[in-house]
Amino acid sequence: MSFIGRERISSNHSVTPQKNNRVNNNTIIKNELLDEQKAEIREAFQMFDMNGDGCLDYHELKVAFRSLGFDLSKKEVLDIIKEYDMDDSRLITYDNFYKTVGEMIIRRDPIEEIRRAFKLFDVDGTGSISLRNLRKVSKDLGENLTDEELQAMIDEFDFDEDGESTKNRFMRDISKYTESHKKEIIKMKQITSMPTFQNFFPDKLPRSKQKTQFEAGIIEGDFAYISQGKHKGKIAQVLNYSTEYDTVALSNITSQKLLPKTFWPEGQTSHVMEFPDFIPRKDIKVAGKEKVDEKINYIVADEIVLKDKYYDERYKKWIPRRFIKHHENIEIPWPNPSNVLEDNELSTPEEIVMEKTFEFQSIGKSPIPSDCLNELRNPYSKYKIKKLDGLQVSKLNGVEMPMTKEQKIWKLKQEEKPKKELVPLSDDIKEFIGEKMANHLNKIESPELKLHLEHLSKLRNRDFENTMKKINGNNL
Amino acid sequence: MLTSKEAFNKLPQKLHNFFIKYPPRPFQQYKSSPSVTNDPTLNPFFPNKNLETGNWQQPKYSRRRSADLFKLAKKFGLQDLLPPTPRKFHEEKYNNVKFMNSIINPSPRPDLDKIHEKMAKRANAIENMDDIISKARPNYKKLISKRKKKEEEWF
Repeated sequence: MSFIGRERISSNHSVTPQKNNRVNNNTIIKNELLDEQKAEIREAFQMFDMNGDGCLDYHELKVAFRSLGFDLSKKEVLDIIKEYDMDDSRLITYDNFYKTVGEMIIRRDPIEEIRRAFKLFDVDGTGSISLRNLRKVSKDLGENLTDEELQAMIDEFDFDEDGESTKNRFMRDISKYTESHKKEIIKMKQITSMPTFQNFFPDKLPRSKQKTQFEAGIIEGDFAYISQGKHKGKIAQVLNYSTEYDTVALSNITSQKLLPKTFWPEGQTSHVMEFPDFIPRKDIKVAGKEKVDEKINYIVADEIVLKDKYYDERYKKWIPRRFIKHHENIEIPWPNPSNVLEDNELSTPEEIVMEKTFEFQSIGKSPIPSDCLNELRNPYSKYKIKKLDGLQVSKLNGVEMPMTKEQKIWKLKQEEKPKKELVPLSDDIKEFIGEKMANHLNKIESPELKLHLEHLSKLRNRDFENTMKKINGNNL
Repeated sequence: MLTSKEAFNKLPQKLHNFFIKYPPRPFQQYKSSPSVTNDPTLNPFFPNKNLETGNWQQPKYSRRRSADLFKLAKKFGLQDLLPPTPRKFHEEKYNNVKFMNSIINPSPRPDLDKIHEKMAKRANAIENMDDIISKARPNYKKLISKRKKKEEEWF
């Protein structure tokens, strides 16, 4: 098979770090462990060595592991003791303790660590740490922090001020500011942040340009081939796709950040924390995994196209199918969703939920309650009828005051009175007025005065026009 | 020469409108003073009293509008056809000026000659004060001599 846009990459590049051999890693521990981590191991050992004999017994060892962030079962702890126990004393010396812990620290998966820490804070599972979550955790830990201090903690890392985690109507909404103003504010915020977190978040996309993960064609659990940048050529699993930044977080592609002690999640033992990098969408290509003769191949799509929709049982959604562009017979299926809830004895079966919540819909009865309709309608719709019916008008205007006895009498009297009707001037009057005017006008000699009178007689009068209208209206 | 029909066509609309509502004088009579509202001869330029309510109604045509009508009518020689107006115009107004009392009976002005004479007389009397007093009071001469003695001399 030879296709354009299809590359074959051998599967040597493993996604998760391989387990190191315990025998040859003494030197590696020395080199890879930071001074701080070494100090911490020693501190933990000294702290839990109650009797001061230079050895830890089972209970002490378990607590020491817990303090360093490793939650081990009873069997695991016993195994560790048995391995180094030469004289059946069932104790572990400092040297052996140091070796095991150092190994575990190196072997620790940083992404898993971050996820665990985040989950610890994000109690309600919204995907962001809010003030409430932080308050609960601080209470659990027995730290008496005020709300202001907690808010300050969130603000420290809320560079983008998205308000997602700290939505508050009294806080400024940075998205409403102009570009230059926004930049200035972010700059001022970053002055106080740790140097490794400066310029940590990439530029945010405007709301109109943001795409969902299905629209972008990349989703959590996909494989991505990095085509540009420092990590060019690597293939890694996608941890998540950020719609806001149009970036992906990939497993193994992380960088170390300095974290102040106040922000350490439970189990964090050092100031250094591994954070996944933000890799722009344009720098990666979607890769499909293929197994041929027990050999794993990756098919990298230069571009992908999304075609026809189908209902996906795993996502419980209508989603498009994903194909390689120009090779539309090759489909890259969507990966299995990562956090699927498994049914247990407490969960309600799907058909029972359907049965209990199904509402029969018909033309006769709307599924929407009539009281809810006004809220759903657009109050500014151009199709809305602006005429009010009689009842609404009467409600708006209120009830008129009833007439008093005197008013009724007065009204009757007014109706009895003959109405004054306007009548055009009779011919007699016209003749009389005309004669008078003619006498006067014929005597005038001054041409200026004549011109003036001519002008006056041509002037229009609104009142006269109205009276003429009334007279004509009466005649009609 | 204009005929009466041609002349009538030159009647301003403003006057025509008024004559429709209030026909010219010989065809209808108007009072030249305030009247009551149900009076058929009421004058629209005067205030009228409503006897039922006891209220005075404002004139139908204000002082300003009545004056405008009158002046316009006068230009076309029709001023006599309008109801009598509460004020007078032009020569009539000029001839019927009611002067102020102070203009008819001005307060008297002082005579300057008399004042000068009076002042001269007074000055003269002050100058000859000693003689006049001593004429009326013979003992005053002693007092004068005493005063002369008491007068200090320059050396």
